[in-house]
Amino acid sequence: MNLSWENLWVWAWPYWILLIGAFLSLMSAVVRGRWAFRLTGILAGLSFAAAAYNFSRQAQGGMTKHLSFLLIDPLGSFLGLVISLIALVSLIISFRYWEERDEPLYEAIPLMVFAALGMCLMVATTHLLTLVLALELMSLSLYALVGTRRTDPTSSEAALKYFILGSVAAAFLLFGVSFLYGATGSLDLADFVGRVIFPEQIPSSIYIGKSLLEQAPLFQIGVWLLLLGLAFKAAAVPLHFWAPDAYDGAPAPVTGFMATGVKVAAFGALLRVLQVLVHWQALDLERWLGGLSLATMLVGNFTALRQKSIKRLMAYSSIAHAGYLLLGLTALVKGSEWHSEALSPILFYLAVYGMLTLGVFAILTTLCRRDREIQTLDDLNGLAERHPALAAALSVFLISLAGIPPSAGFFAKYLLFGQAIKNGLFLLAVLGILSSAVSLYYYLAPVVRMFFHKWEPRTLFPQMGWGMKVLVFFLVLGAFYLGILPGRVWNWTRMTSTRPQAFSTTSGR
Amino acid sequence: MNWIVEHILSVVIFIPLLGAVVLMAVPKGRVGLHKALALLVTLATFVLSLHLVFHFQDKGGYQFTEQMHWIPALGIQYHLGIDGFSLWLVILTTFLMPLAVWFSTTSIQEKQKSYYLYLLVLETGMLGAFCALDVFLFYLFWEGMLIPMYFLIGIYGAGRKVYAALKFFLFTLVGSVLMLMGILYLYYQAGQSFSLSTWLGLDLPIKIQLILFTAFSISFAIKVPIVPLHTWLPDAHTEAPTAGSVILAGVLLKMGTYGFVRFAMPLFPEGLMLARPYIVVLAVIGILYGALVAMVQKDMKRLVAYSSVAHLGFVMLGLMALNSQAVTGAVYQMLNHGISSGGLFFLVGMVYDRTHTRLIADYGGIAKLMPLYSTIFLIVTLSSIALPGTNGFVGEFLILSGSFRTLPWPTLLATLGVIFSAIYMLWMVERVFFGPVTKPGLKTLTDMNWRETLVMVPLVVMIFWMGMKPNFFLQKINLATRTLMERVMPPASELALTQKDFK
Repeated sequence: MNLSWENLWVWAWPYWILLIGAFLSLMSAVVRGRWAFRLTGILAGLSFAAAAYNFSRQAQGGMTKHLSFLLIDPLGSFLGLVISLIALVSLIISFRYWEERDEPLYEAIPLMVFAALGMCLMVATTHLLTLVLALELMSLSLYALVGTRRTDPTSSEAALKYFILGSVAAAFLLFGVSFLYGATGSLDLADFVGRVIFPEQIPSSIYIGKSLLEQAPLFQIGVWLLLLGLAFKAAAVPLHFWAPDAYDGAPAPVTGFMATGVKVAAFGALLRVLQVLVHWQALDLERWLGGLSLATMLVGNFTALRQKSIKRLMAYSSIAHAGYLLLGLTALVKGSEWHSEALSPILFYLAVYGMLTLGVFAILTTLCRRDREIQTLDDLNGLAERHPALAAALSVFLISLAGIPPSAGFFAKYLLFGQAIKNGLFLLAVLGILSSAVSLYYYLAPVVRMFFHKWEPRTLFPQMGWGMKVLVFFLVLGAFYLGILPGRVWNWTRMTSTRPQAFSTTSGR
Repeated sequence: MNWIVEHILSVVIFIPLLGAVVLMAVPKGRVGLHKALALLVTLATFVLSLHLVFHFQDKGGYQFTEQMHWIPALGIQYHLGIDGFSLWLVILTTFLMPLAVWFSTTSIQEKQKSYYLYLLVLETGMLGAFCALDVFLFYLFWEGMLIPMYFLIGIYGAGRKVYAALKFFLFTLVGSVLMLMGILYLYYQAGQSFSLSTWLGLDLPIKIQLILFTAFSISFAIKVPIVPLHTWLPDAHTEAPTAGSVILAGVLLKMGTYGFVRFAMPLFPEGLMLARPYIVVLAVIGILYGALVAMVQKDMKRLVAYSSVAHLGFVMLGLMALNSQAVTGAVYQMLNHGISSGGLFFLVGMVYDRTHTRLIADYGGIAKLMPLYSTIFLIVTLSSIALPGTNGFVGEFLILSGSFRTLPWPTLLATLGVIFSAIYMLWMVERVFFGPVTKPGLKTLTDMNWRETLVMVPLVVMIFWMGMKPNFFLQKINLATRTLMERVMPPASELALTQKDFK
């Protein structure tokens, strides 16, 4: 098991950084005052950057180590890197938003660090208890962040809804974990491989009495509850109802953080779980995931068509993207086998989706006022007349999300759907591509408002410092760079997915 | 200099994009500089593209090729090259662009910087799509064209511009998405390669060929457009700004027919044979339907737009005749349509800029007021209805005489379309130009000024040049036709079988 303080200190370095960053920023936030707030931001930013650096070192070095409740491997490190970068960008986006109040919102930034830590842990474990704890750490921080617009009743309503629904989902997850524990006597997914999925391999000394096959229903219920809880976080239909309300009520920068970070974390955790469960043919994961993916893509895309609120629109957009990602997962587990080459399109897609969605929310955040949050699409009317560069940047992100070349969104979708077709999911891929064509309609809705409509007094105008300008510039650059020269990042995701991982299903440990 | 000659296609394709980047750096207020820069860039592109004509060797296969690895991990290459088909389409594009820019310098009055930006980006997209030999690259350019055109229609158009822009975008996108699925399928079939030459070597079962041909064809048919997928066209063409309509009709529609000759037909010859009867029927319906609908239009621009449906029907008929004469004629007709239709949109735009109405009923007797304008309008009209001596005649004659051999009945019906086109065009000319001047607003109309004349002169010269000396152009097209025919031409017995459908 190799679990010792020394091991933990050496191997889990990025997680320590985030934890220390969280506590330090919390302490500086307690001091209160403008400068303390700035220090909070700097501490959090430094810890995100340092964590990202360490994650990238670990991912590139291909380090693998199984530390009982924590799993250090390229996959976890890569996703941790993506999450840290998402958190860093979200912090830059949201900093002025928190500061620009009568009194800065001190607790917001430490909460973001805690949430990021939870996300990173979620994707770096096969231990179910760690999974539950990490998920709760992330969720509780986010419930609080959603409700930070205290004067606005919609924000409180969204936080409450998110909290109640999220708690039910977390309860399902916990319930599932306890079933699994009852069925297998272990909390580590790695142990399941031997004990349930390949029962013939169980050493007889572990179990006295009943054979495990008879307990399979118990195991099965546990698995379904576990998947249900994770699908909720990923906002897969029919567990998506929280997303539009929570996204709409949350402050714009928090929505961006949620839409990207939670998605990466949920899909990372799903990857870990599926990697184990894929071999259990009785589950028929392919069919379930395929159905889930189809429902998610269709509901997400078609419901988005009728949205008037920009944040709700982005919520349904994120649901639709969850559908595409589920399609990627379906290709990954096709034929009850783990196709490791199908992993890299998912990783690439997560990174690109995160970048583009954060770009959208970066710009939406600059449009928010102290007393007025961006609401409807009409708040964007004629923006291009006064702020053409900003409108152009937002259009780039949206059109890229729709998957028009030569942008990153196209390339990511191309890889994902191409892999699905290669793995024989032709019909599903066709339906996915068609529903993605539908998505163009709603992604163009803000573009139409900005470019084709006249400026109105109600239109929000941006307030951005140089930090935001630089950030948006780099995000736009990234949107084109990953579309035209995706080679380097793509190679990295391929390396991540083909490298031997600490936990491989055949050896069990 | 040497580098430019070796990479002439890349240079021609990317100069407009480079110009667009430079344009972005020019401050917003310097409107004159924007215009001059856009004009200079498009003219330079045209001049450079003439190099292609002068150094085009009379042999089959692709010329001026460039090949580089782009994303090696995925087998994506940067592969360019042109043959007799694409050569002239490239020249048509580079030829129409400076005219469009020059015309826009007076007719576009607001948001000029972004206008020229879109035009230049659009040019790169169009040229790239004509030159790409790697299908992934082609798809990038093909889709990349959509966005600038979308903005051109949506921002600078008239009337229901937002609706028209969106309709244009969505129709084309749905089509390209179908094509994308075909592309992905072929990519894995060809062992992870996008190279057109590799794809041509694939031996696909006939059923698969039919499915793929359908997927590619729908995408191209929307662009052409083939009835019943044409409904975006009247809206987009009518509401677009003049230069936008010119580019749409002149070049973008050719993307569809070009897609047929470059991809759909040679890649899936057996699928083509199965689908051919249906496309022929739709092409003939397009010819007759387009002409009949054009006849009853009240709006001049809409009339020209519907005439495009009919003209492109002829092109499709010629392509589907699978007879080298007809195919060559069809490609020639693509160029003719670009010039005559483009010319008509320019001309309608000129009076629209003066009177701000496009309704035929609002005009009458303007031949007396605008003699030069009326003369040129008549010349372009005659080219459009294929009067001998003009370019249109050569194209239509080749198409009809060629396709009569393989598709006698459809050709006979299509010939009716020639008569119809004379009716609707001349009827419009009569109502607009002749008779007494009754509308008071028209009294102040002035004739074409020197700027407008400068736009029309090159077009008129081309009309007569291509009408009198077609061999210069046909010779190069013929080379490519021969290659295509070797690829798609079935053995004689099979052809007889398909002919039966029409007897």
